[in-house]
Amino acid sequence: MSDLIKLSITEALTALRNKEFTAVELVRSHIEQSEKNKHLNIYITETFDKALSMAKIADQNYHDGKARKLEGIPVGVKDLFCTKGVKTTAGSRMLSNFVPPYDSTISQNIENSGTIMLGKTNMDEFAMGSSNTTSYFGDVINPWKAEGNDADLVPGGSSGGSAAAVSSFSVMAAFGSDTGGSIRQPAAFTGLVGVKPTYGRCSRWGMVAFASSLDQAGIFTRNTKDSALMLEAMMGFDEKDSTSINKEVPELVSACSQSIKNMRIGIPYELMKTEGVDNEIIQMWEKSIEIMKAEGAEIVNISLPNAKYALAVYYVIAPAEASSNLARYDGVRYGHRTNKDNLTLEEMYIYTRSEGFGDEVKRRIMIGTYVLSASHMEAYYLKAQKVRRLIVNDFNDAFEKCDAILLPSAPSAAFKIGEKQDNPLTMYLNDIFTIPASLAGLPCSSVPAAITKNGLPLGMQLITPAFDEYSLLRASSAIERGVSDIDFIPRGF
Amino acid sequence: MITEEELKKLQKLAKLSFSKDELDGFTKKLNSVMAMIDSLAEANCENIEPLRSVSDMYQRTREDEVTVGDIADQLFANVPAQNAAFAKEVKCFIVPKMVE
Repeated sequence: MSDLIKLSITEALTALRNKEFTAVELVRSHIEQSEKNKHLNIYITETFDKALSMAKIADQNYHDGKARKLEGIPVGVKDLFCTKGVKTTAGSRMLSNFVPPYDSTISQNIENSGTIMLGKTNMDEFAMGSSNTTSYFGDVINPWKAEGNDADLVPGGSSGGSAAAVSSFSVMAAFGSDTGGSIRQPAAFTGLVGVKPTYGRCSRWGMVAFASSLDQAGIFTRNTKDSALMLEAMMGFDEKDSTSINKEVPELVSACSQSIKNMRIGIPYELMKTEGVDNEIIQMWEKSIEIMKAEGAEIVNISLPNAKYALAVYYVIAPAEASSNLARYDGVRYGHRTNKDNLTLEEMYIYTRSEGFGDEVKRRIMIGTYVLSASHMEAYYLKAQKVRRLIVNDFNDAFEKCDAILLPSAPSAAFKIGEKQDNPLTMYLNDIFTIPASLAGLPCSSVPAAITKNGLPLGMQLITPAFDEYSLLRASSAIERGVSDIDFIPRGF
Repeated sequence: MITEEELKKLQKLAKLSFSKDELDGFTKKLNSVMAMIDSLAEANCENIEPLRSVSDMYQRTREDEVTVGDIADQLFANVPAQNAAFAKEVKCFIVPKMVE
């Protein structure tokens, strides 16, 4: 039974079709693994009973020859996506009792493809964080530990629960969201493949909003081919989302076995001098360039001169959009309402929101309110939008010279829980490499590419032009092939 | 840097309230973030238009017809526990009195 959890999605689907085991056995093995790893605090809500019922239906579908594309595959779903009848909290006290009466389009799409949800995974509150230490429901613990050191490490964030779920073999894939790096950075910290498709590829209908011009659903898996399968099921036009792009979903699985010979890989060498980046990250970057060269790719020097402003742009635009999106949480129609008595309406709003939101969320709402206020809007919000255009222009110029850009996903390996808490800026710097692609809405991935001296995974990031997820997976799989001698499995798993 | 006066105004706009102790620690952290954000002033944006969205968005329209109806029960399913039974019975959201 324990072998079942080590299978790839492709292997599991073949085995299910050949009736080597049942979907019930597959799901049960993952439930057992999830229960063994309760201490990681992966799930906010477990849906094990429902999962077993759905597994029985999956087995019937296989029997009747009606199996859907991903029939029977156990997955985790970030608690940011509304799931009908199943609590959806966004990791916050504000929504701790909220049970959606409808499914998000993403949840519906993945259910329609036959996947089976084992639970709603833990996350930083309202997707604001890089460590999964701001959740109302407690920290998530990384399945990885440094050699000779028992300290609990962060899985990264905000999709920390989803990352820990896949990395601990509790599910075969997990859905997350990426606004400034919330899939790519935790993927790097947990030795996984993490993919954020082009902005507009995945519907945001039913996805609890953080920053509407940046939010995008994405996927964690243990290899690129599994990612390709999941992305084909997730992506697609949705009329209910006005930012959804009406483009055909490409076939992606074949990209993962395509050579990258003659592909032009752009390296922003100037970013190698970024302050605060660990030496082992730079070494991994240099080694990854050699991997690309060895497969016949052409290495091109590119420049992203305005990337140095990306952090500032993001921490104006994202909080501004968040302050607007989170204005709906007022205790009137759903969610937390203060228990205090004899309040005016205004007081009810203030107590509800002050009680319902954690510190990081309140900080971002305050920043957002400030940069949108009448006397500051020009200097901050409008200026940030202009610099955002400069960053997009940088990428457009770079993609005249290259087909994909290669750079690290994060400036360090996973750090200890409790570190980087004194100054929010140290936490924000975790996203220094991921934010530029988010601002430009480009498809991007993180692929495990090295292990540090003390046994922790590191990830490399690929970025490609808008809607070119095919080249993204093609380039990502080259890194994967180049490090195929490394087992990205946490000790003891 | 954000002044104490501005902080009071922001709290009112954002409908948030902090105790004096909470505010001291909060203000320091907030201002360290603002110091980083101030680096935007260096960027040269002459003749650059603000970017509102990375995608070619346009407002899609549809026919003005009801496609989803009879969902009152769903709309009131998550009303706050205070007065929940009454709210579901009268199909109104119950709030503190605001009009004399």
